[in-house]
Amino acid sequence: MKYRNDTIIAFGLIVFCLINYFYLIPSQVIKQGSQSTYVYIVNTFLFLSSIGYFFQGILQKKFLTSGNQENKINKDSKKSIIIIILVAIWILLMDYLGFLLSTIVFLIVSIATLSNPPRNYPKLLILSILFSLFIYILFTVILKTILPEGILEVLLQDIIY
Amino acid sequence: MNFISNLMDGINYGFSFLNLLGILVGYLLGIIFGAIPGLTGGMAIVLLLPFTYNFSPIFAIATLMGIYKGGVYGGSITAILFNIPGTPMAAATAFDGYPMRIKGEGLRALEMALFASIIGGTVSNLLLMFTAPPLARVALKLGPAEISALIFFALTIITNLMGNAAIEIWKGLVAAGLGLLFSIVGLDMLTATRRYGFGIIQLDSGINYIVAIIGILALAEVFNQIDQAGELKLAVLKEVKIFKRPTMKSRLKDLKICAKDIFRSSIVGSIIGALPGLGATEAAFLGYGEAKRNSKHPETFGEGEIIGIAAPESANNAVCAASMIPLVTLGIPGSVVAAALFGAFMIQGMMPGPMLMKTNPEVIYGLFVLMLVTDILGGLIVAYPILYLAEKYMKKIAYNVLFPFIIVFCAVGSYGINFNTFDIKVLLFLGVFGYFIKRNGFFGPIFLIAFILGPFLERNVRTALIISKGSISIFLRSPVALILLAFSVIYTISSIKKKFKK
Repeated sequence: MKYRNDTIIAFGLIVFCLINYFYLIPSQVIKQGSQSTYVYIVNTFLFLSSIGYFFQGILQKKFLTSGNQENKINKDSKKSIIIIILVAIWILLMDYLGFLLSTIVFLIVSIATLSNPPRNYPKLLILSILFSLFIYILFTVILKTILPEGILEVLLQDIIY
Repeated sequence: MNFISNLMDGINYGFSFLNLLGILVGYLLGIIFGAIPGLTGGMAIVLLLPFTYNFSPIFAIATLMGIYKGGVYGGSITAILFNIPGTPMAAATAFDGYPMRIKGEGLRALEMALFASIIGGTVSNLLLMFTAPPLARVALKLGPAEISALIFFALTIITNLMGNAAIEIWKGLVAAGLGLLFSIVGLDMLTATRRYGFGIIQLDSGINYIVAIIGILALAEVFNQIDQAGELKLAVLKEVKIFKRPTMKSRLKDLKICAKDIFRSSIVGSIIGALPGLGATEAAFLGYGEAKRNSKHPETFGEGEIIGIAAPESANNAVCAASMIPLVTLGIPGSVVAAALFGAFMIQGMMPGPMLMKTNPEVIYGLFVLMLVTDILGGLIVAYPILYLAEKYMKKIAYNVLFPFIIVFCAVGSYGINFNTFDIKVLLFLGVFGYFIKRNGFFGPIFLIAFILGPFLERNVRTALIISKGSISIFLRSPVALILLAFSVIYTISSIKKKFKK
C-alpha cells in the first residue's frame, strides 16, 4: 500500500512540476516581472528528485513482497481529521464570533471528541471557558495586543474598563 | 587575546539575574514538555517563539536554550519511570532505566541521568565555545557561490543522514525541493514583484517563517499525536512502592563507575551534534552501544545497568550545544531545534552565521557563557526537586485536554505576529501539509530547514549569477563550491545505492 502511495505521490509531484514549468512560472513569476532563473533551478531540482522518487518507488515495489510493506502508517486517523475540520471551522467562525466565543465552542467540541465516554460536560465547559479567558487576558491585558473581537469581548471590556 | 576579551564582554553582558531566571524558567518548561510523551522541548520552543518579540536578544535565546536542554533531560523522566520515553532521544535510557525503577532504584536512575546530562552538556558547551570562533572566521571568507554550494551541501547531507532507505533519501530531496519552492512565495527580494501570489495580497510578504515553524513542528505534530494518543497513556503502568533514596557515598561510587563512559559519550554526542542532520536520538543510541561494547559485563545491559543510563544521557545532552555550531558559524540550522532557534535569532533582527560573531560578539559569547551555566543551574536547581514530584503528577496528564489547548496556543501565537486571521489559515494549511507529509514518510524538518534557508540560498545564487553575468560556471570555477557540489552529488548517489536494499 505504502509503495503504491509513493508512486502516486511521486507522479503527482511530477505533474505539479510540469504545471509549474509551463503555467505557474510564466503566469505567477515571469508575467509579474520577476526574475525566473532561480525559480527554474528550484523547480528542476524538485522535478529531478520527484522522478528519482517515482522510479525508486517502482523499483522498491518490485523488490519487496507485500508482507514487507510498512504497517507503521496504519493508524486510525479519524480523530485527527475531525480535529482538523474543527480547527478550520473555528478559524472561520473567529472572524464572526470573536476569539472568546469561537474558542470556547472549539475547545468544548474538540475535547469532547478526544474524550472517551462518559464525558464530564460541566468540567469540560469550565475548563474551556477558563483556558479561553486565560489566553484572552494574557494577550489583551498583559501583552497589550488584540484578538479578534465579538460580543463576549465587548462585554468583557465593559466589565474590565 | 580577542577570544578572552570577547568572553569577558559576554560574561558582563550575559550574567544578569533576569537572564539566569530566563534559563531556569526555560529549563522547567523544557522538562515539563520533554517529560510528557508526545510533546518535546522543541515544541515548547516553537510555542514560545512568537512571544520572544518583546524579549531582549540574549534573554530570548538563553530562555529557549534552557527549554532545549531541559527538554532533552525531561524525556528521560518518563523513560525511567514509565518505560515510555518522553522524547525519542530518551528511548535508549529506558532500556536500563525502567528495569532499575522496577527494582526500586528509580531515583538512583533519575539522578544518574541528571548528573550525566549535566556533564555531557558541559563538555558540549566547552566544545562550542572553543571551536565556533575559528570556524566562523573561516566561514567569513566564503563568497556567494561558496555559500550557495555550502547550503546545498548541508541540505543534501541532512537528507542523506536522516534517510535510512533509498526511498527516504529521495523523499528527503523532494521535501527540500518543496521547502525551497514554498520559500519563493511573496515579493521578489530584488525587484519587489509578486511571485506565486494568486491574487492574494496577504501573500506579498511571503509565508511567515514563524508560522511555518509552528505549523510544521507543532501543529502537524499535534495532529499526528492525536492518532497515537492511545499509546501515550501513563496511568495504566504498574505501581512500584519501593523507592530507595541514594546516599552521597553511593552517588559518588556510581559516578566513578560511569566516569569513563560519560566522558566518551559526551565526546560522541558533541561530534554527532555538530554534524547537520544527526541528532540526540542517534547520539544516545551510539553512546549506549559504545558503552555496552566496551563493558566487561555487556550481559548486564538491559537488566538495570547504571552505565546504560549514564552513556545515552550524556550523549544526547552533549548534542544540544554542539548542534549550535553549524548555526552560529555557518548560519545553517542542522536540526529541528536549530531551525527554531534560527527563527528566534531572526525575530531579534539578527542573522545567525559568521557575521553575527563579528557584529554582535557580546550576544554570542554571552550566550556561550549562559549555556555553560544552564546545565549546572538548571540541573541542580530545577530538575533535581522535580524528580521527587514526577511520578506522582505525570500520571494525571489528560491528552484529550492538552492537545486542543496546544492547538489554541499555536493559533494565537501565529495570530500575534501580524494580528491577522490569515496567518492562522496559513498555519492550518501548513499543519495539514506537515501532517500529510509525515504520514507518508517525508521528513517535516527537512522541508522546514530548506524553507528557512531558501531566501539565503536564493540571495546567494542570484548574487553569484549577477557577479558572473548570468553564467552558472561561477559555481564550477570556485574550487570550494565545486568540491562541495561534487561531494553532495557523489554522496547522495552512493547513499542511495548503499541503502537501496533497506
